[in-house]
Amino acid sequence: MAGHRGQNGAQEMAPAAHPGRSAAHVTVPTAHPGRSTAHETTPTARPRRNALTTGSTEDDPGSYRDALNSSLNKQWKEAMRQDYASLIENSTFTPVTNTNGMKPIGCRWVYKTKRNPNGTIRYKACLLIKGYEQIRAVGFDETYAPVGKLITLRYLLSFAVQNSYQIDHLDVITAFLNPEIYTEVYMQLPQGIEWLESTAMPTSNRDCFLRLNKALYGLRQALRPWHQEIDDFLQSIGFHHSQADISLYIRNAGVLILLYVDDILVFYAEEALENALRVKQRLILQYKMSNLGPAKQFLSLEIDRLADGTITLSRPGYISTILARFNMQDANLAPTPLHPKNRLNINTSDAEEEVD
Amino acid sequence: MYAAIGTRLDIALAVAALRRYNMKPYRVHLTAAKRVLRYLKATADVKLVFPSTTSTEASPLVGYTDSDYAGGRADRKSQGGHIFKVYGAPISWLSRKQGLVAFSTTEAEYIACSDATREAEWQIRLHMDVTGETVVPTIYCDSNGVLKTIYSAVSSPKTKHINIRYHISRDWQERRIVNFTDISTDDNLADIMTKALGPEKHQHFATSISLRSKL
Repeated sequence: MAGHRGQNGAQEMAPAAHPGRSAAHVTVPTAHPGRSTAHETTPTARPRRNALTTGSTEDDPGSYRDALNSSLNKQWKEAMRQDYASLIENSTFTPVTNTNGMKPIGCRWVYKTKRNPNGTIRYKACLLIKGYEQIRAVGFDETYAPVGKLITLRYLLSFAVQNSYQIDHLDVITAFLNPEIYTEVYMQLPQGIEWLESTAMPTSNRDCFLRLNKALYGLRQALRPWHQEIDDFLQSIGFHHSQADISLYIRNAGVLILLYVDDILVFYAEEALENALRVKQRLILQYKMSNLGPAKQFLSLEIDRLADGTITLSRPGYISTILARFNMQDANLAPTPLHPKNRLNINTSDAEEEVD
Repeated sequence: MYAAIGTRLDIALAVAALRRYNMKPYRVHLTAAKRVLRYLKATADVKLVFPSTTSTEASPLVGYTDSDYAGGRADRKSQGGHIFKVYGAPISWLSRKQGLVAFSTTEAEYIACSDATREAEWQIRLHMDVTGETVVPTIYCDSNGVLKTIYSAVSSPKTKHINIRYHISRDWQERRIVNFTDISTDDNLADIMTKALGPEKHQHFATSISLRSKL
């Protein structure tokens, strides 16, 4: 029970991107570094899966050194190579010569074993910038990027049922890498640069840093440029913010968009079908996106639509996972969450001993 | 507990009650936490349902508010809560220990009402943005004392001391932004946000807040 933080795949992959996120907050959509490699991304099979439901092993290497020393070092090296290649392909950074006054931020590799539902295992590596080393005022303009409220999602689901709206899901593949960043951020060379980088370049931090062109996971302002860009784009095609929740975009004629970082839900009335298709088309042309069809999963919540239009919302697998974590698979069942005579408010000084 | 935030409002009270002891749990709290998990195990297939049937309510937005007056507890603070439904499905809920000590049941209920009114404000705006229509939410409350205070613009000696910001409910009722309405305690869904109920009543309310394991 204690502390939900860090149990979510996304948070483990990108710990510094969301500092201070409390358990009560909506969590970031589950793990998927924007730059997912081609073999994991098919429009139908979601690349995104919660570490909780897919079961990640606990023996993932904690550092670059661990990865190279592990028995799976070949796999981890390949994973790093793939991640690095995708960063290069997106021109995420440019090498620059070290001059006085540059304050480079460190970076580190994060490793994760992922089990696909079909039983195969994939090894993922992700280069993170140590956003927590960023100092305010140095390349730190604005980090705020709004994320939708779950209440809005539930409101829209209820609205959709009542008014027979369809809900389609689009997923931006390289959300964080799309926009350029405008402040100067320098990063130290990643570990393994000597074998990752094929072209000749200085491999010592004394001589060379990387200047970031695009936001990288872990960077404090990673979300902000992306949000700015998608916001501009949506406004340019006729949407405006809701006053109540700025991640909700409204256009007259029965089309609504709920934006959650790199997840986009398009709600539309039956008679607005053509309109909605045009909107989707424009988004897909503008960004690298998967068209996932009718929404089935959003923020790791499963959305089911029944034949009569009813929608159900659930988190399948989550409960069995937490039961497993606390070794309670065989626990007796309880009819209610709190015992009717429960007095948690009793003065704890006369309760039994403190634990942990 | 993320599970409570996404779909499982039936454990919102338990989670709110236990969260306070996250930092320094005693054995009673661990036992209680395990009970929540044992309950979840028993109800693992429960889903939040957005029904296609039309609700019989006059307003598409309906709130329920309740409180559990805690004169006898160590810190004398009451538990307040509310549930809001849109078109028959719950979209927002709250269970929280009130920040100040209420002097009476009525006062605790009154504070819970002001929480609900403020939540309604946001949903009125959301509804306006999406549909272009002004909605006057029905907010159900099972305390006659509170309803009397809300309907009448005069302060009685019993409510005179209440902080002005809690009078938002009365103000908004008068301006017809919200519509507070009487409900019997047995039908007040917000009960599940404020009191540890027995199995039968809990089950009844869980079904009424659109949590179902079978459709």
